[in-house]
Amino acid sequence: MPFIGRSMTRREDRALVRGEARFTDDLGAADDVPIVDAVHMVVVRSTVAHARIVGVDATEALALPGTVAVVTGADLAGTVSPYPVVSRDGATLADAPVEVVATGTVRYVGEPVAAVLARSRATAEDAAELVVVDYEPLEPVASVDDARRRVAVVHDAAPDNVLVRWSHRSGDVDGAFRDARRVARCHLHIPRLVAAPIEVRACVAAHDAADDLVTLWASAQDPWRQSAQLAAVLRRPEASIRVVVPEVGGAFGSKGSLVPEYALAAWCAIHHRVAVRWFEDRSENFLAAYQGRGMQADVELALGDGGRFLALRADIAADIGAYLYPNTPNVAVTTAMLMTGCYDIAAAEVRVEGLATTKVPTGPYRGAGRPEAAFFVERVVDVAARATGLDPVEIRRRNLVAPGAFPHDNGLGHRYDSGNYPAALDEACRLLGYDALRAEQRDARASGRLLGVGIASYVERAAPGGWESAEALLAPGGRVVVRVGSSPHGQGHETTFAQVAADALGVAPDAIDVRHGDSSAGPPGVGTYGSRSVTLGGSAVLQACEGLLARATVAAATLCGVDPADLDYRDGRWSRRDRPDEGVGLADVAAAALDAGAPMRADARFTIASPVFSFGTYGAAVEIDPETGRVEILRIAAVDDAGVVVNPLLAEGQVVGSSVQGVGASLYEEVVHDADGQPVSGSFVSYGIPSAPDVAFELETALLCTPSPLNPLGAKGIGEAGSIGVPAAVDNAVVDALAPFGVEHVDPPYSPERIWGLVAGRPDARAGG
Amino acid sequence: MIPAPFAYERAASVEDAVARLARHGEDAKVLAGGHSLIPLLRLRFARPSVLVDIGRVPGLDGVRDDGELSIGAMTRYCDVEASPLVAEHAPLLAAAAAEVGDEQVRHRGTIGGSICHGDPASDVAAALLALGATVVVRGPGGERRIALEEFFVGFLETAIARDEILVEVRVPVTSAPWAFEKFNRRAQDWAIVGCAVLAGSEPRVALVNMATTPRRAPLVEEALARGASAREAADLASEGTEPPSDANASAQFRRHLASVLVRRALERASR
Repeated sequence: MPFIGRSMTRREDRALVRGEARFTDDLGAADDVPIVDAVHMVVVRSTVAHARIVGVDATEALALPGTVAVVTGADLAGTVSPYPVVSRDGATLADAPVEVVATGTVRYVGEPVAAVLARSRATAEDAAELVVVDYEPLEPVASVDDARRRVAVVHDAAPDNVLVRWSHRSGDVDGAFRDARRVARCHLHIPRLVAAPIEVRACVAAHDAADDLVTLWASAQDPWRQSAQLAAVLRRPEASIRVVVPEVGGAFGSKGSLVPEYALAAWCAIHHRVAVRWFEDRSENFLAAYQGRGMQADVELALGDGGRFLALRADIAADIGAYLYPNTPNVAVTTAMLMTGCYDIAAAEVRVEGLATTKVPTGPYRGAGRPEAAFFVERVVDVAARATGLDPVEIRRRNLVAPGAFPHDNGLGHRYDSGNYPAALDEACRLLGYDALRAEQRDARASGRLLGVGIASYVERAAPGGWESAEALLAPGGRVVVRVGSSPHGQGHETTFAQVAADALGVAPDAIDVRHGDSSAGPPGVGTYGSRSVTLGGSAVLQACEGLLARATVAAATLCGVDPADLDYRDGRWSRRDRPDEGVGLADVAAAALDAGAPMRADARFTIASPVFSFGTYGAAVEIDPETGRVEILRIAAVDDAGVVVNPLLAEGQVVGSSVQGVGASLYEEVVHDADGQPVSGSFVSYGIPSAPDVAFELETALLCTPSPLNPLGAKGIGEAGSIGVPAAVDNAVVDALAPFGVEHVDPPYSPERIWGLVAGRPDARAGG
Repeated sequence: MIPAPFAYERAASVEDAVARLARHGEDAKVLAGGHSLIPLLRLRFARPSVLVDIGRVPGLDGVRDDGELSIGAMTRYCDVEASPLVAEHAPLLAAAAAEVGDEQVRHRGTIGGSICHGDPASDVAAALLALGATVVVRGPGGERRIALEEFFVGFLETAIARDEILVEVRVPVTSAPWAFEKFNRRAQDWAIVGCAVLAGSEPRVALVNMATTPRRAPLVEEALARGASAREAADLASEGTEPPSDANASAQFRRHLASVLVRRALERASR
């Protein structure tokens, strides 16, 4: 029985649950990390949203015993290059890369202005308080509206404050809207969110002057993007940089670009000839780690006979923040390119503007553009359902891309590889108990209860182009060591890749060791993001192991003195066809290879030409307390199709975890800045993420399987599903619950006061008012 | 973050603590469970030069019944919650203690620390107000008793002097019907609004987070005494309050919630 498709517990968990796993700040001499003489770095951050830096006075800080140095933008000038930010998917970008440390102008509260190096963390914090920064205030640009009104220009390179621009048009959009029987419209807004990983950002940087090697141990999604971007910023060849990613306490997209403070620590290590350790505190993570979402849209859907979707138009505005990280522009463009959703819409026109605001930059956060797209699309579909009098499930069913119509060009530049959207819709309705809930809703409404049911179908671009590589090595004793470029930060690569390797080699996963996370050891990689690891990294593992088996079979044939075609291979052992009792095992081949001085190994690099498209349908049932406005989620049904799933247990874990984050986005989470651009949601008191008692609702999950034709595993991605499906489904359920009050739309998060404001004083249609 | 530098002293007795506070004056803070003070220290919002730790002072914790309930100032929320005496004689207080934060908070935070912090959002403070509690403080001049209502003076401000220690909370025993209502967004959050009701012949109603201090709702109590219905009385819940506006709720919404919660609590207490 194959191991692919089997639920297996995570081999990673033993160390994690026993407290033995080592995170960046745990590293020490035992890990060859030069901690003993390292200095602590603490960052002095801007306290204002927009200002010119007139001067930085470090006199008092330097006078504090134990302070080693104070480093400012002026010190870095001429020694660092801008972050490499490149356009993808045809986006036009302004030249506004994030800076390692502010030079001349600060553009958000929390932006690094100086770094203090000191012998202890406490001294560094004391010294940081003593650094005096003299600011000449500039007008803050606290919102997209401010940016469009140009209350100030954030970057000279973008006089109109537009940092990202993208548009696409296909089909006869104007004609379709002209001929439409009805047009469904909505204006939607998703606030900024924070990723809030349990482990905040942390690094240790050291410079070996003898070898001129910079080593960065860092909490990051993968070593590769840190390493490539650090090389560009520090103007060094990548070969002179080693990045090690130990155990990581979550990232959710927020550790996918080089962290400016990591670059600052590395710069300090080089220029002050000392190892530097840095970790931020939670307040800094709220202030300075790039945030997610922050998008609004005007969406119009032209409807023909029978509720047929004729054309879609959308104007999307993203609150980009003060700068572009390398992965900042992708988010809004990802949203734009998915705006036709799961539907067969012949004409579409989508425009995106990403605007500069004097707030911390944005970037990917679990879902990274897809939750926004699902929310925008699925809301306007529900508006269309209400406008046409069709049931929300029925109008979806009528417009989904048909199962036989793949590959499907979505009109916005994507070719969906495979899918069976009606199957996911049907399964979600069954799991949720859709028909029974509708009946219950009729009774509930008659007795004054506000019960709501929401459905949302989504399609997710996963594994956006690119490659991953793997190396399979036959080790002494016949174990197989698989080194992968694809590096995890909680996904369970070691478990799933071992399953893939086990099937390729016909052995048990226990016989496989999976190694990763060090840019100087093993094959190169790209990164862990965009639900790409199984599709790309897993395919590379499969091919490397197949290559290894092919080579090992030749070696086994030599050992047995027969032609490879005359051997049978099973369970790690080759036997002669003619004399089945004679044969050799993996250990014999390994030993022979070692004797010959040529270890048996094989490499593979798997490249995918275009993304794969996961999909699914989520359903939600909610009840609202009309007196207090509290929204209670009663049940969520999550149906996802990620093609062939290597480990259903881990896939379900991804669905559950991402669904909880989706619930946070629906009910609690919202980054708030005041009109001066000052953040006012900078702690877990003012920014609420759900904890265990808050997610006591029923969550029913199911996985369907429509394989992808674009990779040998047939895999797609599952890592972000719930973050995408839950907010859209819950929103539709909330609006549905409030329908008796004539409510047509409510933006997240559904705070009690926001809901109460929609209900209080409004006549309840049920009462005939 | 790491707190700004401070000296740490461990008091051996109440008298020792009082002497230390008298010696250090304005610069000293008492450390009990630390669950209000330590976050403030770490954010460097509070910068005392001396912390006087009363965590190992003997005799400050535990619940006794001497006609009234005597609850030591250092009694942790979890012990208040679990105390058979509290469950029997002041179940309203047990219910409020169970609503505080999460398990970890309840195993560190103390009833005396909560009262001395004077936070208007304190759940136990509202319960104690409804129960008619008195606090006992000791200073250089000896002991004095202060009715809890007079103890809360302003926002995070109490009637305790700089060189006094709260040693005990005294709660009249009661078998009157009661209810505690807490409204928050997440289960472990502070109350947006809360309310404690002790019904019976002289009903008492206290509100969480509806003013600069925990406070009673005298108009509600008077209306009930006049025989008003729960709904009529609850409509008066926000009269005279000054609720805050913050990210979780505006003052207007808090006023509305106060009426809803008081009505629900009164209805529940009368069932």
